[in-house]
Amino acid sequence: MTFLSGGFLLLVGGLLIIYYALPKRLRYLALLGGSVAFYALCGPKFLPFLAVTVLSVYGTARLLGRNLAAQKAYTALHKKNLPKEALTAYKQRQNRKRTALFLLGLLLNLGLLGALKYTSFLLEAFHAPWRVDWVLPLGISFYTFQSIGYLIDVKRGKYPPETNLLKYALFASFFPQMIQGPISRYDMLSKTLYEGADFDWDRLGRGLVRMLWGYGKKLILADRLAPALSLLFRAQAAEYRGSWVLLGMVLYALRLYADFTGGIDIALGVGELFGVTMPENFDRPYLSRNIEEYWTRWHMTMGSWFRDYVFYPLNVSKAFLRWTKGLRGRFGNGFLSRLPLYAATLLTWLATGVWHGAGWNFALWGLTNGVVIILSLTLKPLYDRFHGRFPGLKEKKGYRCFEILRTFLLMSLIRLWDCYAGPAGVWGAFSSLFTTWNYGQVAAQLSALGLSGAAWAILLVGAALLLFVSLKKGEGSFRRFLDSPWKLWLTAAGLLLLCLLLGAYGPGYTASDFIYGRF
Amino acid sequence: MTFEQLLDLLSDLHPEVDFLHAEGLIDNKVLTSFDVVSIAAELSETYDVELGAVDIVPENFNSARALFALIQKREDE
Repeated sequence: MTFLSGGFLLLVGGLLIIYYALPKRLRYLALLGGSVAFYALCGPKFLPFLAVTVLSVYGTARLLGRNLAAQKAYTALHKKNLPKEALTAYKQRQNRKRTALFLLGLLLNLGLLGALKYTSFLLEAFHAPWRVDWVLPLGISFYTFQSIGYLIDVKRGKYPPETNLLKYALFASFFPQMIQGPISRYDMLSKTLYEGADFDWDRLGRGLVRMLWGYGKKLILADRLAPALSLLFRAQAAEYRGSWVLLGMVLYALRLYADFTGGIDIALGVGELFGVTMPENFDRPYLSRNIEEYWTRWHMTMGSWFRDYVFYPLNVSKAFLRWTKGLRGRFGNGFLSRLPLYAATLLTWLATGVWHGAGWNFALWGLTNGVVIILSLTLKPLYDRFHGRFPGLKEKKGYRCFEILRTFLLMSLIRLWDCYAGPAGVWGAFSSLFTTWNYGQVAAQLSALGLSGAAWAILLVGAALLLFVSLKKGEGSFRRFLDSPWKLWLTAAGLLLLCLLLGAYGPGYTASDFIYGRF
Repeated sequence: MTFEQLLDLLSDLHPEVDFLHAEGLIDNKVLTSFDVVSIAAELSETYDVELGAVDIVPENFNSARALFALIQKREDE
């Protein structure tokens, strides 16, 4: 079952009726039942894997919470009658116990994810004589990371663990976020997940508009582009070089944006129908002025996960701080003293790449991001000097447009790792951008991609509309526009009509999976 | 560490920002994740104040005063 199936719409519709028919305190159970049903319909064989994660993380978090509470009580009781050293030693002992427990929970879940996701790739990479053909449970990367984030937060004492197993199970398995996120944090999601929202036509309308906006992006733009891009990026597509690659980069940027943000719009819209607020995952990323900014605006929940749970802990770990100290003592504050920061950046990006999937392309995609970020950090003094000579340039509209275009092209180049098989394929496509000059051929043979004139017109208008909404959203006027009920329902009706008239669906058509559903 | 020393440290990173009055340094993306870890490294090296991963949350870095309160807390421990 996917967001695009009729079964999904039926499930959401049925669940809405049950949800609002139940007393408020029981409504979360309807969401849990719906989530289990959704997951079982996606593949009943995946349920045990989800259950292992839910039970192990719930149990570990409860034990961590119990230990922390006992430590607090003991410290409060003996604060005055025990020497400070004895209390410190007691705290250290408890901390060691918690670390051991935490590692157990972490390794079990990371081990499960790692085994299912990477065994096949590793066996092949190391030329092992045997192979495995394990199916990856739907959304395992998303729900595992969401659960690990929760476990780390409980271990850090950020909040107490959830005591109700069913409520925890709902947090880990809430169905709209199972296919491609967002990766929620417990302290944020739990605010609305369990409270049982009152029925509200206005919220229902907003949820529907958000869903239909997502369906529109997916069905009208992303899926319309999918066959053309398969043709452009297919293996050994030697004839599609040079400007074809450039065209492919731009079209893939549009498809990925429409596909991924569309899926997230649907997820967030479904959540809104039930009064559940999930975190936003995008903040108009293609308007970013540099790569660092881009990664705070694209797939934000994944980026902040790696930042908070990998990048920061690595950098402030005793080993890294000692390393920095040593390098500064020997080399001063120059490039070499920043080696630990660069190493942490590369490790974080390698992990981000590998999180996306098992394959050299994913790892190299992550490392390329890390290298570009490090380069931009290293060159910052030069950049600052340049702007010192031309004060005010940064604020000029033309220069801002240049920065946005530069970032868009840079990110599109890095995405070549998504599009072509293996380093040789990526290099062949990349180098042809500078060696094969065939703009004329591309212009003359556009129809070879199988897109009609009408399809190109729809794509152009769609892209322009996305840009327009992005620019308007910045001023909040789009949200204000939907404050009026008749405008809200008219927008919903208009979007539904657009999806029905222009969407790629129906007999003989197989909807392409969401790109991020693979991860 | 004094508050003035912290202001100097922050100003070295972003001379254009008035850290004495600025709020929402993380929320408004004035400080990046690289700035945050640079601050943590500097505090550790020059002032012997060690921040843990648990300390690196927006609330502690949104203003110079919030960061100073955190530093004082860690110094007292």
